[in-house]
Amino acid sequence: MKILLIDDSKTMRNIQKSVLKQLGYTEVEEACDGQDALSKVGSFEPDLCLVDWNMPVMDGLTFVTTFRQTDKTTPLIMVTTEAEKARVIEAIKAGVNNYVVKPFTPDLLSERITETLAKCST
Amino acid sequence: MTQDTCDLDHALRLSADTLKLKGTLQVRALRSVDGLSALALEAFLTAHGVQREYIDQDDLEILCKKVLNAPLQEHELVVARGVLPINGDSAVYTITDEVQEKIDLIEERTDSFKSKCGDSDNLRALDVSDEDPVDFYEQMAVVVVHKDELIAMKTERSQGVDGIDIYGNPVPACHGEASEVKLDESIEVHDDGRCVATISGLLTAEKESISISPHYAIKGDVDFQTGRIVFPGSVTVYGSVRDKFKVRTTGELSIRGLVESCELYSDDDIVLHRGMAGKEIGKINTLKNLQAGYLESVNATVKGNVIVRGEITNSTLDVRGEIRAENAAIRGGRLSVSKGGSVGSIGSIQGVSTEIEIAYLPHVQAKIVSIEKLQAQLERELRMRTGEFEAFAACLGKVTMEQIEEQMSMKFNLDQLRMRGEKLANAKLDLSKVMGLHTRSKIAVSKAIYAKTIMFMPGFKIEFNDDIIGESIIELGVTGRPSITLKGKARALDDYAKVVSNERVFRPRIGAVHPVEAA
Repeated sequence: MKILLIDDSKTMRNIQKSVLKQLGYTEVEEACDGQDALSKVGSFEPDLCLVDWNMPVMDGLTFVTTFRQTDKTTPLIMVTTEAEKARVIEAIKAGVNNYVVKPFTPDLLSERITETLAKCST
Repeated sequence: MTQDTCDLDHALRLSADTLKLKGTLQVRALRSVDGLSALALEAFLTAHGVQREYIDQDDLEILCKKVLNAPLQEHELVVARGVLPINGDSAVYTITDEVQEKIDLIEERTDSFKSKCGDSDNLRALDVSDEDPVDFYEQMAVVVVHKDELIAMKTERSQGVDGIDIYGNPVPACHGEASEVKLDESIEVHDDGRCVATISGLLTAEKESISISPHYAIKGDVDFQTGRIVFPGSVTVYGSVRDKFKVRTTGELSIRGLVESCELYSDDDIVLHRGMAGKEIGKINTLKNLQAGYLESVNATVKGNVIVRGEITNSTLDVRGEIRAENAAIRGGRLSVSKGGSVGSIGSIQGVSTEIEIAYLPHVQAKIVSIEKLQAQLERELRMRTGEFEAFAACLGKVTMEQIEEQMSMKFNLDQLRMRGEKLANAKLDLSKVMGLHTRSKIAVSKAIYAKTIMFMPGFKIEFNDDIIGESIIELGVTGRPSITLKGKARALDDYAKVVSNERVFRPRIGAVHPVEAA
């Protein structure tokens, strides 16, 4: 299982990577913004992307919109501090499959990843 | 036939060698050579049974010419040749260049040694210098080979090819014989002729046999004649081991004679039938047990048990098993033993300072100490980070996105520290279990413990200021304090010795930080 972490904060990526490691996912690639992520998806071919919303250069929502133009199936989870209902709906409309609000616990992130992968595989 | 006509039947004579592989035609002196020709000679030969294909026409012509030139002389020439039989080769073993080189070196060593000492083996006459081409110390006097090493190549015997004599009859060839050299199961001969060592050991390559022995018996001493010994098997030394020599074996090492300030290493048992007077530099290191008559001024590291019949004097012994020396006196020096044991007496009437560490497992203890050190560091860091986290959380109003992430990061780091703490605690618990399994805090003394004996048990130092005569057992009792059973009666050890807390041999406390480190 290949997972792409898209977040401008190195610490946040480390936290997510640590949770993924505990879940047994070791094939992880990192991107520091949406633009960087788009340049990596072609070669890395992720099975799941965890996307932050607020990032420089290209934000998470723009990434999701652009990514969904060519890839309708790869699961995307928005991991963000944006907790308002309208924002959540906006993200889902753009094409994310699930939503995790920061601060999250490792258990919550783990639960959402498992839930998303199960849902998308059916 | 007229008188002037050559009578070939009387003039010619055919003779052959033993195997009839060569036919020689003799021509007597002739008065008339009428009718003599190569064709006539050939006809004579074939009439006598010589097969045409073995007749050499050129030789017939030569012979004919010779006769025609000098008819009054006798002539003879080999004119028919059969086919020689080709004998088969016998099987042979050819020692490889690498092994042969080793054998040559040993021969060179032996010759050089003889030239220096003569046949008397007078080692005093041996002048060992750095410029000597043979290093009599480093180089052993025997050929050692290792398992899977290519020793020799076998060339199989071959069948001969029969020959044919000049009359067309077969001449049988000799077939190659099997080799007379015997190989035992220590060398495996492969289909391709490779002779490979199945064991490591001493190679003996003689005319009649090639074999490898896993045992090396040294009839005399280990000295310049033998060189230092490094042997991949067991060794028995019937003589002594001289000062500064080393013996290293993977199998049992048994020494019948005196052992002085030398070094002995074995992956198996070491048995010193007499004992060792190490002069403070003698070393013993065994991965199994050590048996000795006596040990004097020796440094020994023994992974198994130590069994001594006589005395252990002024020696430093690190024993990871137990000591079995019911009749032995331990005088002076330091004995560190993991599993306790039994001894005759400790110390001496004269009050020689003697130290004994019971239930000591230094490498595990060192690991536990380092874990406790890390635990103490971690504890300090955890307190500091927790304080920072609480202070950060307390001063937050309406939190920004950055603050949320910062808070998450701090929490993540705290969790990581706690996880590390748990891992350290588990490692310490495992090591403590190992210590429990591999140590025993009990020593039985059959005769006496003399004053100036210092004993270390887990968590305690016991200083014996008076002699305790009689059979005694000292152990860590159920209370966790050292106790003594003297002549069958349990008593408080404090009545006989000064018992103080001491962590030289420490007792790990599960979950607690080591007091020394915490301090």
